[in-house]
Amino acid sequence: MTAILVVGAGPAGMSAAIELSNLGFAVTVVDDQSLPGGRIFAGIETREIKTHEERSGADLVAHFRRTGGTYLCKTEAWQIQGTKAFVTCDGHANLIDADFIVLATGAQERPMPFTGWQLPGVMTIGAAQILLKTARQIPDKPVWLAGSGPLLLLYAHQLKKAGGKVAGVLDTSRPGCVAAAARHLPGALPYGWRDLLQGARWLAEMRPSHIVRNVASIVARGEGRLSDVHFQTRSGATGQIAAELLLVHDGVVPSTHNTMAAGCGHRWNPTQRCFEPIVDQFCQSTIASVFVAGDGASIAGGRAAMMSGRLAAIGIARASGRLSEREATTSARPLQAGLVAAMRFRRFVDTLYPTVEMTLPDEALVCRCEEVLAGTVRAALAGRAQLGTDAVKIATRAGMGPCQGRQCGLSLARLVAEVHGQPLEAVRPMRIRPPLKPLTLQELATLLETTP
Amino acid sequence: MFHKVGPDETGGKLITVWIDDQPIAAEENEPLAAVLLRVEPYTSRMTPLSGAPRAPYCMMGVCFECLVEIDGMASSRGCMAQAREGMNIQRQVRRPDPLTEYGQ
Repeated sequence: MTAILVVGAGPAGMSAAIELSNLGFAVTVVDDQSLPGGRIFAGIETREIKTHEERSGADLVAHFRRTGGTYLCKTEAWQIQGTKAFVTCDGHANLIDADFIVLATGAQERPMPFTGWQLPGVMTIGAAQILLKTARQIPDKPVWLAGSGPLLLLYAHQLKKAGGKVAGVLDTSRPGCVAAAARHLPGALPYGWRDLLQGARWLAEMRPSHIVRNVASIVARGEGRLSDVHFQTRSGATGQIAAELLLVHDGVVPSTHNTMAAGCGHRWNPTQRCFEPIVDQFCQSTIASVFVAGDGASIAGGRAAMMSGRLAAIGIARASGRLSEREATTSARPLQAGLVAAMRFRRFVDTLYPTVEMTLPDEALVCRCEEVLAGTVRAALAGRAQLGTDAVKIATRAGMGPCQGRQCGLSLARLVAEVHGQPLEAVRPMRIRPPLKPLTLQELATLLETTP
Repeated sequence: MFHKVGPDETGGKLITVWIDDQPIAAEENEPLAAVLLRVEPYTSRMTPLSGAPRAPYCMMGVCFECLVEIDGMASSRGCMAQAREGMNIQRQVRRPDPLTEYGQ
């Protein structure tokens, strides 16, 4: 029987697993969390269902529990090699050999470096949202938000509903985006009119006591923890606020560590300003046995991820001969059309909230783990056009810490492009190597017992 | 810095974890990093290089700022670990010195 491994139990992974099981494959799903749902539906089985979206998430999780194959929670994949996946669970490493692998590892927040972003008291808005979802926990004082993007609005809405308060917003979005986005509005409506109405409601209800628009740079200061935030607007006006907590956000990017370490081809997405794996109409990567679904392939949101997961399943049925070319094309068509509509909506969102990439001063940390400053990276690159991301990593240790470049990889690519005067399309992302998750030698040694 | 809102409707058990040898109330299965953010000084570790304090940042396993020692296992991600009764958490304050700690 053809065996499929799905990595990730978010909307894409769960949808892929359900569809693959329906198609008669033997499916195993590994996920690093203790409950299925991914980030968007984190802990959905333990939460009170309040919205339409949460209802659809809870239904998907229930469906997945019934018919999604073998589900292994708290299991981390730390290397994908062709059809083989190395995972760790509860102190034991295992080798899973499958015929095809679906990588549905989702997104992470775009690293948003600025001077002082490493201070305790600076966190991401996504982190605050996870705290709300998994620990029913909110800031104990009115909180300042900085950045831009739909998640900022969503969190402000959720925080208010939970009894919290936004003190103010340092809005980094650029002027003119609303006008630019307007021409994408007609295309966005078929897929996203509900989301747009909801977004408009969140905007209307947010009304923080303070909102600073057109923020170009932020500096977080404090002795050992955040006490003040200094900012400058694009017109040069400066200001300062007292804050012990600042929540920041600049959109999300695909989590590419798995696909990169697996050796899948990637490209620079100039609209979303991130690297993403190259996939075809059936979510197949440049490695025939590896399919990529959901936000890990390209940022399009939870509903699109569900379609993308099902499409990957059909793609595997096609590649393995379970479905004929004609059957696969017919079943894929509505999903592909749905994804085209989702991307039209996304284009509107991306134009309304483009990545801001605030100025990155020399004194800002680029690599939080190894404490490497932007200035150090610039100095290492200056006048040495042959140095790329990997060489600058060796020269400065940026990217060598425990996060393995998850927080600095994009910034390093950006600095290489900046110093060498190259387009980002021409910059090769940092090479990603296993193990992708922390692995003890003891855990590694258990492979001898678990692997024949 | 953070606090809990409302009672737990899902029946999460109240437990005690130990952070730097202090008993701290927590809810079973909540992320340990969430607990750290309710307890002064709201930090998880000091960097091994400059000794600067750090706190949980991403809550989803991509920043590695919430590294703590959990029941003797160093550099465990507090955001991925779930609170359990009696868990022993030590904030990481420095880089282990192999000469003084493992050598003779």
